[in-house]
Amino acid sequence: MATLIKTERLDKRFGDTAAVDQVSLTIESGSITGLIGPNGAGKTTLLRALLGLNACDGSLEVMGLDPRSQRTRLQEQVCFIADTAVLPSWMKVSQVLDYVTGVHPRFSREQAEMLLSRTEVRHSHRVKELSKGMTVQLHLAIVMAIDAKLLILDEPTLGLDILFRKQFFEQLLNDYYDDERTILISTHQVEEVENILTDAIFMRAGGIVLHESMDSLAQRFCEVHVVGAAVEQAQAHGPISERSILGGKAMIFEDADSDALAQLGQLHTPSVSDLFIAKMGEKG
Amino acid sequence: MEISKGMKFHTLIMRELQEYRGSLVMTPIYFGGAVLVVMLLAVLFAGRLAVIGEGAFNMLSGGEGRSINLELTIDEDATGSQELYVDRVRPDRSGLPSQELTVSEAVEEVPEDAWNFNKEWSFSAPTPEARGEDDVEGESLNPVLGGFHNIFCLIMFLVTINYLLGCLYTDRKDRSILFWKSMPVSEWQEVAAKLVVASLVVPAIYLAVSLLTQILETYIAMLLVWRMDGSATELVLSRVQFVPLIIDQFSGMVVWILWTLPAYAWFMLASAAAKRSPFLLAIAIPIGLVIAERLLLGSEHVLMAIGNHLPHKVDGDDVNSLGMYDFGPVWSQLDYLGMVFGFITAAAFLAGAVWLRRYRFET
Repeated sequence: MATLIKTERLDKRFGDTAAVDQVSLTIESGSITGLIGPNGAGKTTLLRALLGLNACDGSLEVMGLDPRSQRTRLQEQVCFIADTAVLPSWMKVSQVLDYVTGVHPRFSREQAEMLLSRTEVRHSHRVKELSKGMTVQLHLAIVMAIDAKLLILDEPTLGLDILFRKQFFEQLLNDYYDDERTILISTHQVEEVENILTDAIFMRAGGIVLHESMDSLAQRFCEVHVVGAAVEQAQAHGPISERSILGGKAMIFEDADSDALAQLGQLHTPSVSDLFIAKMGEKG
Repeated sequence: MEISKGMKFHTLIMRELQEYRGSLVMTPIYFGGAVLVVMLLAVLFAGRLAVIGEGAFNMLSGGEGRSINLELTIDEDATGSQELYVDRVRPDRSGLPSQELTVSEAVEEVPEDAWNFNKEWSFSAPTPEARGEDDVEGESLNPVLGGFHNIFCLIMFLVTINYLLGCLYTDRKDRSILFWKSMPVSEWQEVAAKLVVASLVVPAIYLAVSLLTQILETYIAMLLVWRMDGSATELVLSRVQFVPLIIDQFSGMVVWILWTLPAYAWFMLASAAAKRSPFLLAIAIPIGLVIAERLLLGSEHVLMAIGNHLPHKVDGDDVNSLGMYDFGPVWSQLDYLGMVFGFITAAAFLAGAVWLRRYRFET
């Protein structure tokens, strides 16, 4: 595993507001990292900075290049889907394919055609004639046909129905991801991605609240379902969050004594979404 | 797969032509086609509708391009008529092209009830006596063809401005710029491709279509004269000098390209900078500068500079500036220093456009 992305004290301000606030971050190759945060947490700004689309302060290195000065070279190695529906609406599907073939050295047209043949998207379609789901299928087919080391997805499934969303991530995992590739994906819909991630980053107000591998998340955090008198005992261990469940409380603990907690109630590994809510609820 | 720089650039050019196919590629073809269809119809109906055929025939035999007399007679009783004379005065070859348009109106009062729309149209060339001119046999038809070419140039200018104002703006507006930016294409490559389209590809397309139209017009005119039992060779072919025509219009286009460069670069800068309307930005700043200079210094240097780099009909002594040259530029009299200043300005504008494209692309 090599370090693919490394930032130190990365900073981006819009006026007085810090969209990205002194972020130091390391992402290893071969990971699928979820960048999770509420709207306005600075996810998009951080990703754009990594892609060289934003000017920013601090040190920044993506695949050994500085995106701010070497964006074009970097773009041969990095793919990104910035948002849904940013494909140019006037273009025909065949023209999109022609264009990418003509400018991208790592694009395999055959691969893209093969992926598209499984969809309803036809060469003669104009992008504006495609449904939102089909547009994303087209974009995904292009991106998956590019042999890139790093794929950055910024809210790729926003506005899609659940069938397309599920299909999107399945395809990404089955047809694209391998140990050589790294995916960085931002979303505010945690439950959608939590099963495919190897790492999670929680972001709030421009800062990183948590950055752990899924394995270490399971070790560091535990959720205990307690009922009756055990509730107060459990609270004494300092849960980072608690919520009501049938007949009692579900509490999430960070770096707690799991043996002691096991005696108070049933131990679980918290879901990323519950953990996310717990961490967001913490006082910054 | 390796992608050569040439292939990449070709892809970028094709992208532009695909997006603006209607205005950059199809418009001249449609216009040229329409002109030719109208002329062909004239030939087809020349036998049946004698007025058209005779009119056109008279125009040619009496010297097309010299004078066109449109006579509109209202009412069968001819209670009133209006006459419109359009005179084209041929410039002498050594000097500069000039045109005069004379509109003379019939003096008789037209009664209000005369507008019954039972109009009788007739085309006729005024007799040489009426124009007070001598016979014009053998006069060149190049200026007539040049007139068509000027219309092509005018259309080209309008579509090019439309293209330039949109080319760095619309994709920011609909956010598709994020797709372009996900491709390994640098901002300067994008801007360069767009400039090459506006300054080389579009002029090449328009010039080619214009010349083709002019050649076909000549053949159709020959056909027309032949149908009217005139001598096509004598009346038409011998009066069109193809080689000077092509050289003049080609070199005129070269001067056009060189002189409009800073104006085109300015439109691109406005397109890259605008938050709302590139057009308003592109015209508001120059107008503001002109007014400010007028008020503060009382001079008109900015106005002159701007005027020099926009297409206009060249007449008088103003050979230095860009124009629609029917007869080709007078190379020795061009203001080369002004041209070089224009290039420097254009380079600055383009650098600005690249910078904005790179760092200030969000609307």
